[in-house]
Amino acid sequence: MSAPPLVEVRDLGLHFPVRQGVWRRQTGTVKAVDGVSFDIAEGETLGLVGESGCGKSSTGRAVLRLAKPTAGRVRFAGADLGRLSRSDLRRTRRGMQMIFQSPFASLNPRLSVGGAIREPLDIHGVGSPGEREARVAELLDLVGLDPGASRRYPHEFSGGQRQRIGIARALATSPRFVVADEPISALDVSIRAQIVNLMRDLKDRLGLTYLFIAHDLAMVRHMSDRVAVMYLGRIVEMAGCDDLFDRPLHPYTKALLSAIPTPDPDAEAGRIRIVLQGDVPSPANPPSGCRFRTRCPIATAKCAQEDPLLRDLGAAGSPHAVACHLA
Amino acid sequence: MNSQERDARAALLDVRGLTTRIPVEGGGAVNPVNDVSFQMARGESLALVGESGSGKSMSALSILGLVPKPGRVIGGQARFDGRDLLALPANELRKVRGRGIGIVFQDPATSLNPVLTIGRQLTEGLREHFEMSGAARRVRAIELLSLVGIPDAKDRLASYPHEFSGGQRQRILIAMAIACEPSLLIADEPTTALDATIQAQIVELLKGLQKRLGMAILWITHDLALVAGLAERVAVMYAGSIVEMASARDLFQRPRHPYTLGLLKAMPRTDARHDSGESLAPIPGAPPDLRGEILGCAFAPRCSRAIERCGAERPPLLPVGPGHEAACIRSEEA
Repeated sequence: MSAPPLVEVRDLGLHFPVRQGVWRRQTGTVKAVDGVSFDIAEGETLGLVGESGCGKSSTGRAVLRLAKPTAGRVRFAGADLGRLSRSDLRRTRRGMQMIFQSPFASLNPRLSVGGAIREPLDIHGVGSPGEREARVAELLDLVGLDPGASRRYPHEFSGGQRQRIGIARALATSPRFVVADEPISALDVSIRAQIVNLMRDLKDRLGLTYLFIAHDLAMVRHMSDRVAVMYLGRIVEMAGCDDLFDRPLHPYTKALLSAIPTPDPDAEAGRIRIVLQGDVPSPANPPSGCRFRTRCPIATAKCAQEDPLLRDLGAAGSPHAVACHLA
Repeated sequence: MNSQERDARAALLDVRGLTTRIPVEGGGAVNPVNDVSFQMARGESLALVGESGSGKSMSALSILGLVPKPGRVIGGQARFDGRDLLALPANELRKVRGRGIGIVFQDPATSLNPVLTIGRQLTEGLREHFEMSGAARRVRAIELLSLVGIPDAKDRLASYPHEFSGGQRQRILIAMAIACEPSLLIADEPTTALDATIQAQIVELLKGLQKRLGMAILWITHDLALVAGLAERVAVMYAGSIVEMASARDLFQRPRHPYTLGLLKAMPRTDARHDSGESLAPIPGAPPDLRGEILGCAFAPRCSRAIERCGAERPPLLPVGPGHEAACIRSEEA
């Protein structure tokens, strides 16, 4: 019997009311996340990919309860986060942290770097003031910054260095689980690899578990043990990383993978690209049946009528779930 | 006539020694574009690739006379169809923009006027550059919308920008840019704000239009991977200067500048198996602050091959193979 997962997400929903008119009457619901389930084992990295508006960031926020889910359940280390008291939730939160996308917007410009990293320790009342100072120095060293950085301010640092500060801040309370929401997409190409290598190194050294949210599929393959693909609030395919990239089963995953450019002109000239027609429909008014059917090159009449459930089509021991009638 | 002069005559766009200066607060100035030279033939596609601050967008703005004030072009020439754009008076230059050179910018959300109909915005260029009747302009606008793949074009002319999706707005901007059938299209990060599947649509559209209309495209992008399927030739920019220029194939298969090589090694490949466990080779450090004086090669502080001489003299862009140039005194070893 294997160990229970560190993070267990069941039927997670995050719905927002759409209000219109003078009386702000509710005229509809945006189902940003709609019935999402997955597990993440201790020490594992689950990659979450999809296009903007697919609900991947909302999922990350709902898992950490930065946004309160409107449906479903999240268990972290066995505890149902929705049933914890405020004080218990606060204590549990130390163990789960977030790395944000923008190293420019996520740091308070008036707070010194040391202050920013120490803040979570102050909030959670971790250690004595002297211990907190020592911890800040330790964290700066951990992310490859000079201890002197502590007294300086965010604007004195480059984008890559600021993201290191954001990572140090996220790791201050020694979390076991980290949600990284597009942690490299605001960074320059030459800097991205530095941050990705740092994240992998920290995972190995500290035994971290990641939910890695990104739209850069090559980076997701590099980082993740397993990958889940989202479309309009749902997971449409989930499998082991290499399995998903080598044998995509969902037509959306196939199109998404075929759209990734590769730095090889010969390969580019020879490749067959599946160019999808049209745009992603509005999550306030998703298509009936399969949500992807309006852009799907192989959709049939059944796809408009029946909502396909995620089912496992993988070999024994390597689950490969896909939500498609035709897979 | 020497060969250089002949090249210049044949070229659609011939940029030489382009240098732009922007004063900075608290005194001093930076040169975001520093001695940039490149040529483009008719119908050719060239990509300017670089990170933020490398000068790729500013190079295009400099050519077009659109450098934000108080910045200005302080040197060089940019001959388009034989005329030096940098020497043209503002009203002449405006005639070239939109007529001879079409422009597509990054953000479809802010490049369209929200209170004017799409039909009105599409025909603006035609009104400015051609003698055409209103009915003829309308026919042309419908034709353009269909050309860029907007369904029910006739009925959409009266729609406003917010009634279109991001991908569709980018298509409309492309339609506006090609309205006067320019011989050169400058596409500045045209797909950066778009999702992967929409990006693929827009790239296919632009490549199709290039073939159909025989226009040259100057792509400006930070995405080196995207460039491989996009352009025939690639120029890599770093800290305001072109550091390597070659055919796309040569650049990716035989990169000669350590910066290009570093960028390629720092990118994961989608076909690299996750279970291989290979780690990426990042380029250490960060691009230089242009406010400081850069003696020698701007990339030297981050370069593993740098020797003492690299910090002393700025390496010129020199031929390293047929149609392949690199600005590195150690490119032999690359």
